[in-house]
Amino acid sequence: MEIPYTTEVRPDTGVTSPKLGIWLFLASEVMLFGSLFSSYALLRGGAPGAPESDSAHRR
Amino acid sequence: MLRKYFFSTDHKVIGLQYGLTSLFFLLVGFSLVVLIRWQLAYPGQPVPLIGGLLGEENAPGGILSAEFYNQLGAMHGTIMVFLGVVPLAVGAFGNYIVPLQIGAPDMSFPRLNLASYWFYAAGGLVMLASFLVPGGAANNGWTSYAPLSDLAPGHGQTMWLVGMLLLIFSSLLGAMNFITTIVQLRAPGLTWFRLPFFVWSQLVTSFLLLLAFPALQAAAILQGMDRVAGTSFFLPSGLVVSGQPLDVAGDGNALLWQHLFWFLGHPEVYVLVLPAMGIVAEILTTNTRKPLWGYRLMVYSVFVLGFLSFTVWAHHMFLTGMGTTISAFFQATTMIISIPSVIILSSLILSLYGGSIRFNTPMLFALAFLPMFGLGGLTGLPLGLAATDIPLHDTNYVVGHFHYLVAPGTIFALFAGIYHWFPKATGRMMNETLGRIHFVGSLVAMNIIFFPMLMQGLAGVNRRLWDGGAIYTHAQPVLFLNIPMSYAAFALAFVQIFFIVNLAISVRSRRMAADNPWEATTLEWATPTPPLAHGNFAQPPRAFRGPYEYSVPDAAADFIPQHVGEERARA
Repeated sequence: MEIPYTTEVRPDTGVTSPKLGIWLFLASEVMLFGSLFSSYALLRGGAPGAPESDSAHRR
Repeated sequence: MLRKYFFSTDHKVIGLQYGLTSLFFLLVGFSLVVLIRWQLAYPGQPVPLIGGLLGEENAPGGILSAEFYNQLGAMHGTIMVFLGVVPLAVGAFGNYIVPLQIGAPDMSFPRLNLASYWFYAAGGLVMLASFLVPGGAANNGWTSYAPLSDLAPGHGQTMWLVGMLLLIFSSLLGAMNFITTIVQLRAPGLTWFRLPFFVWSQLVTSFLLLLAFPALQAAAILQGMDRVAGTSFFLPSGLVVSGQPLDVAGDGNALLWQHLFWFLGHPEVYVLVLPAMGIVAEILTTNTRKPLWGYRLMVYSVFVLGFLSFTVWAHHMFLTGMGTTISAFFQATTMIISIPSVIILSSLILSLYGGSIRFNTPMLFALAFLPMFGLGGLTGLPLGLAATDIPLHDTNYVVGHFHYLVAPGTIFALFAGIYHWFPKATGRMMNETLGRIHFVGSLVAMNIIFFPMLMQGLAGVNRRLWDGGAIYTHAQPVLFLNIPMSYAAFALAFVQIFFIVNLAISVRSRRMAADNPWEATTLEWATPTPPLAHGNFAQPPRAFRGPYEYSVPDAAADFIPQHVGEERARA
């Protein structure tokens, strides 16, 4: 059985299924690494020795 | 044979695999809570009949130990949500019904679909196996709050994290596949606003799974590092455990776990609810012989609901001291998200008006969903406002609230879906009498279990107490409620036997189902019964009309299926 639009582009959506699938996978990766990076930012900001908000002006 | 029943790439076989596995896990999760209910009604008394089988470590002399009680609670939540309800609602119904309703021969990525099921099965196996390791399964609640979960001894919590990662991976593969399938494989003529509401609900659900689950993926990796590699992402400095300062690097943030967990956890609530609404919408229109009231409004609402569900997570955290400004923001978004939910529920209720209702078993479950889900939603409002959440947080009121949403809400919708689509999947009708006994018994028992929880919670009884609150003075006036609640839970278990027997005998029943036994309009009923093993449809279907053309004036019958063209509809 042939699944349609695996290699040819569906005219009304303008993409092939694998292309759309990979974009969706990348969207979920953005959320994964977004979570990891924001966790890093939070932990780094809360650590002793982290730059204070006004440190640039205190020199 | 192995290839046909276990490693098939046919979406229908995978859907049934998901269905049977998740029903098994629902039974396991429910069995755990039956033990809990015994303990709450008769704290410190040996469990009758099976008390001796639980193991000397878990239940010395048949009496549940407090550690084992915590394992039961944590694993009940985990199994019910991640291994029972979501795989049944999305994995089973989504897999089986969505390709049929959009007139597709299969999912876009059949082998990915197969992988998704086996990752799910592996995750479930890891969760079950964790009961057998020394120290038992995870016992830090289904939310696994740090630092408790970081520091929990034994391997149960680590296995919980591994199991969760497998389940998350399975969900991500499934979600990608569903979205691609719905976008790419709609039959000719099936434009966006001709999609049945169930397909819309699955589409939004898949987006929630795709974008919310990675947060827990990240959190599980970090917590795994804390437990195995000695990092302290979630361990703050200066922790003192049992009078001893803890020897860790520190400087972590325990609240970070809660943010990451609930960033998944709240969209997850809508993952539980949206497919249920979709199933109920299908069954209501079929059995009232009326179009869905406000179809477009419901579609817009489900999108708003999906979007807003990413902005409300911290209403689970009002008590953490994260600050009044943040609390104010999250209680505002929480009040706003109730608007689309109410629109959908009201539309479903208005769909009943003036219909000629057929009271068959799926319809009874779908009708009961409406007030039960409404009650669950209304009891949630006080929890969404910080001022009223503070006294109610972590009480049995919360437990009553979300069980009303999930048990007589979502699980009723899932039962309705099983009774509704069973004829399509097997070619046989289910027994109506057994179905009715199952319905009435479940409805009565669930209300006797969950309504007193609201009363106990308002009296201030905390959840997750090993003795059900017996040592607290303020709990004494409502403590007697535990006994009828527990007997109702045992009765609920008994009533499910009717459902299991019904499934078992109906598969072999001689009451064969026609291709379209409910006289429904959507495309899944245009297939032969059961649908063809490869490709579903005898010839590729074409949609000529919207999904719910019931009781159209001047039509030949009181329903016009989507695949029927204009000339045949009027003939």
